Amino acid sequence: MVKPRLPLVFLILAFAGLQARAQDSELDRIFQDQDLQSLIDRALQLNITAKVLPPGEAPAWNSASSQVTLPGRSVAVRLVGDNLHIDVVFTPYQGEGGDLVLVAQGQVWMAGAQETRYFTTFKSVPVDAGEKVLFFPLGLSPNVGRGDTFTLQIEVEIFPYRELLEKQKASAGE
Amino acid sequence: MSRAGAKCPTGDTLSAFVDGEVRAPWDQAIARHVEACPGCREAVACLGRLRERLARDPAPEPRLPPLPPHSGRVRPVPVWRRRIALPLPAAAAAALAILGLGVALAAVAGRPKLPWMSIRHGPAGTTEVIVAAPVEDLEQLLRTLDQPSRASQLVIHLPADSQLIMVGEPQLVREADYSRGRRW
Amino acid sequence: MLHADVAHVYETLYPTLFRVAYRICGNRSKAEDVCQETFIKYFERGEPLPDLEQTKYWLIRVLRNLALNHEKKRSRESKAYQRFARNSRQYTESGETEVLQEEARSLVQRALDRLPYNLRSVLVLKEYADLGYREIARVLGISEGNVKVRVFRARERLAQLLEDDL
Repeated sequence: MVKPRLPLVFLILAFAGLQARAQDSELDRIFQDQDLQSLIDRALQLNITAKVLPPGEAPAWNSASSQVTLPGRSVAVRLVGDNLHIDVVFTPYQGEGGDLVLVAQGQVWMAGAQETRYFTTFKSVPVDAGEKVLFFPLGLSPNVGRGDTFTLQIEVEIFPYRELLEKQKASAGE
Repeated sequence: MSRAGAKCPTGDTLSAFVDGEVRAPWDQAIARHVEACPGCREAVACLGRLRERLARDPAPEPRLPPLPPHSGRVRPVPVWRRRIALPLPAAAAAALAILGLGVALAAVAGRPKLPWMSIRHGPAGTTEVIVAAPVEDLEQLLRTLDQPSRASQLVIHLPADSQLIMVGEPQLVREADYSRGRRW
Repeated sequence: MLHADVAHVYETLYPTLFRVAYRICGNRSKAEDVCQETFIKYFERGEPLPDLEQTKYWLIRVLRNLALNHEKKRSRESKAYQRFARNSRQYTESGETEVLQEEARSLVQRALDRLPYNLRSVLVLKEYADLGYREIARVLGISEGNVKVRVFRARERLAQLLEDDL
């Protein structure tokens, strides 16, 4: 429990979806700018891939995207289908030692022929940087592996943003 | 610090005397008395030693934080801040935009100076970003943050004509554990 | 000085205010917070004060009141924290939780911290703000006679505390 000394207004600033196409000079400016080091050091990139998996085969469909955020700042994903609307909020938390925990909060609306159903979920899992975490918002069927059961899967990988920037810079310099 | 003798000044008077707060001619009267009275002399010496000890006691050096943004005159500038970190040079505006912060800070990036920011490890694994900005900028910043921009919201359209159903409890699992589980 | 330039006021008076705040509050980070709050109020004030001396008195008055608020809060928080610590098995610590992380304080500062606030603040204004009884009386809104008695009582008690610690 933390008691703030003063009434504080914390601004956990939002990071918009990022496709970093910075010029080298911009990257240089980032790395030379001492004041931004903290920001970059803390930033995390979440690579999020949604897949619909038929059993035992390559995904019938997938959609990949990524977003940069800060520990404690959520990334919201909305999956929209014909009979389905899923809102998932992924929030990475990072301890002092760099250990990561990913929290997923999901809300599912399913429109049936005669009714609309609503489910919520809240899950968390410790994870290493670069490790894949799988979120199944509609659950995992015990029948997975059978011919007609498709699985909706959201893959999340978390990377320290700085590492990605450095890799990009290194490959740009090659 | 007790002193004998009905003619001795009171303790608080001696204390005021040591502070130079007793006005003439009483200060001279007290000075003469102190000279003659061992008890009062000791009391004054004691007070002096205490004052010296207080003066010599080491204290942390003040760390003068940079002056908050202001117009140079004492005007009612509503400045909200807690701590002021180093100012972000204008060149950092481009870098911030690259990080995607530009959506929120673009409103203030047009100014000659960016708001002052402090970033540190927050409680429970979160991040604490503290921004110093005049209220008018702050309000704009908060409005921008409150409205998630289209660019920041990830929307994924599931394949058309797909009828997906709930088949079980949602699961969040490490891929390694999932693969291991499937093999069994 | 007819009109105190803001930067000059800040640079000139901050060290004094910090010194006073530190001695009243007993730790650096709280002192810095109180100083910053004080200067915010100064900037928000609008009307410039006639000279540096008046500005100093004004700032010290504000600082003393802010420090008093912190003092009351500290006492409430300390009780609440003790209750919480007894009842919890684990808690999350922020890097700057004042209860858990205190920088080393001298014997003198520890003794000052044990003085009741009313005595401590008067003594600190005398010893560290370089104010006379008249100025202290104005800052605190009490009589000079009252200042005189409080300074003496503070010294008496402080001497006792320091003697006990030796």
